[in-house]
Amino acid sequence: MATTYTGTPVLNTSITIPQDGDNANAASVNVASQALLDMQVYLLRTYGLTMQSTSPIRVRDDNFNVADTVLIYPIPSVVVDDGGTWKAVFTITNTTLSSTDVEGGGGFVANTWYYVYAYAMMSSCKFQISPVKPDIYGLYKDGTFSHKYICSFKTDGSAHIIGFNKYGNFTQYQQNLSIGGGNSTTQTSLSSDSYIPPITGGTMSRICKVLVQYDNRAGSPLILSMIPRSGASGYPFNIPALGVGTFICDIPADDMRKIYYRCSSNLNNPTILFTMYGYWE
Amino acid sequence: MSFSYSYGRNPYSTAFVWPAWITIPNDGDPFTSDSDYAFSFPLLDRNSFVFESNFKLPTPLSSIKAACVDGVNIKIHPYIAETVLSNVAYISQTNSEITITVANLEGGGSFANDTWYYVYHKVSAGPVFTTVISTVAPHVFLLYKDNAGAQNLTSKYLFSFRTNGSGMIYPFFKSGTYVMYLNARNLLLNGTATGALTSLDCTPFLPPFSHQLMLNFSFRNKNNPPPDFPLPNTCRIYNGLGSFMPILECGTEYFPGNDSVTRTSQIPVVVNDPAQVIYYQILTVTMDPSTLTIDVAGYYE
Repeated sequence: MATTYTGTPVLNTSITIPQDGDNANAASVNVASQALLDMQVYLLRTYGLTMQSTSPIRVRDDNFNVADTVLIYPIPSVVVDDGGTWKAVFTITNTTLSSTDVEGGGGFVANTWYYVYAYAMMSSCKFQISPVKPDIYGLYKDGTFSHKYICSFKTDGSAHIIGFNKYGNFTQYQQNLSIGGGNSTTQTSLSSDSYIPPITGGTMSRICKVLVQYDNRAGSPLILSMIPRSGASGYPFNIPALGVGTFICDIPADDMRKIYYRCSSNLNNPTILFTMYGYWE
Repeated sequence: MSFSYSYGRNPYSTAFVWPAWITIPNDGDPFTSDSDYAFSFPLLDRNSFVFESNFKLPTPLSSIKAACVDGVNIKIHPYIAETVLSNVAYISQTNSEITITVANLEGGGSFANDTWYYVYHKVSAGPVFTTVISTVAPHVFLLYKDNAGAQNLTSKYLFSFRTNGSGMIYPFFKSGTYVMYLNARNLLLNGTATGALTSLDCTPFLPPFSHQLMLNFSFRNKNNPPPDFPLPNTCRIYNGLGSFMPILECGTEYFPGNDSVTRTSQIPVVVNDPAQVIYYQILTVTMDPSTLTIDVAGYYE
């Protein structure tokens, strides 16, 4: 008579199984089945208890060595679906990608976001550069489980890769990317959306890091407000009189990937410049 | 006689695969090793596949994202969570952005003033999956709701938020483990304490289990007349360890005819544990006191 068995979490690398001639009874059959169920219960619990990995995904442009190339450092494992068979593939050496790896060919297009995916080919790990965004979770290429999302980058107006370095969830730009400047005393938007990749689905944006440079040698003290969303008061920074300096500000961008600023005063025309420094996934 | 079959595959030496199927015996098949091994071997391999893959994955790029901009509604970006109810595990997900409000508060009612709340993805009998708000903090692993020191696996922890003195949510934006307030929250306004270190209570600004704040600060020197103005004041900000570790020291140049401000910046600061305090100190060497203002931009969970 069949009965139910509730697994207890245990993981082993071996199971005990019957041999030819053994009786087909509970003692011979169940011992393996129960062990396998025990392991599955263990594995599910393990997933819920997994802490952050010590292995960040590391990707950067390699423009310094070869123009318009991307360097992907070794990745210990990505799990992808290869034609109905799930595979865990990996790389143990650096991989360099170029425009020849763009999906569909044709090279890079100017002012375009590209996304790098890992996939399996003959059980080895390959990479693809695609203009197709990842899914709403940021896990796989949208609509697939075959292409695992690795990173994003953008091209400039001349179709060259904008220098970047991705370490885990943070991407830091390697170029001076102006998102505007000025000393307006009314809320003014900055072109942060040019350097923050869009997210599929929903209205969330990302937290970004902005470099602020000021030259107020002729002016009076003022308060510069860095504003995450239109209408908010944001984060106040005091700009000293007679001062020249820089600081870095973390700030969430709004649904349109915009951030804003406002000066409390612009007496004697201080100069303030904003540079996109990086963003979090 | 039974014997042992050991898992011997290694994803670093061979292709490591998980076909979508296994072979199973039919009714009437002889009870031989062929009929049994055909499915028990692949099942063991699959278990090992999952185990090894799980621990070899790099840092996921997918993170929990949530935002509140109006003090009332919290938007949550689609997420995937694992919960367990009566020893049955569920992987469930939201497929589109959802909004939660005080209506999601467990037990009903309204938000209390100046209180930390915690958001969970919860499974109930059915199974039914809901997103709920609770005053019960997560277990020390920050994975599931706490249950007297154990993990309540029915409720997957997502994020936390704080209410103000009117029971409204302090607007925030969360991405991964980084939470930023939409508007900087003042921790110290024109502080003038001199002499011994002065502690600043940070408990209203980060959850009880968190230890790192992102601070905005500005140090202002008054306009002191001669002969004092050439002498700079100095301000020190210390982390939770107090005098053991000043994390920032700023003096100011003199600017005759102007109120001078020196050093404005945003820096991460670690609070003490469990007191959740930091310290500051102004060393006055001129007639008029200098002032220090500190705002909290966000925190790391």
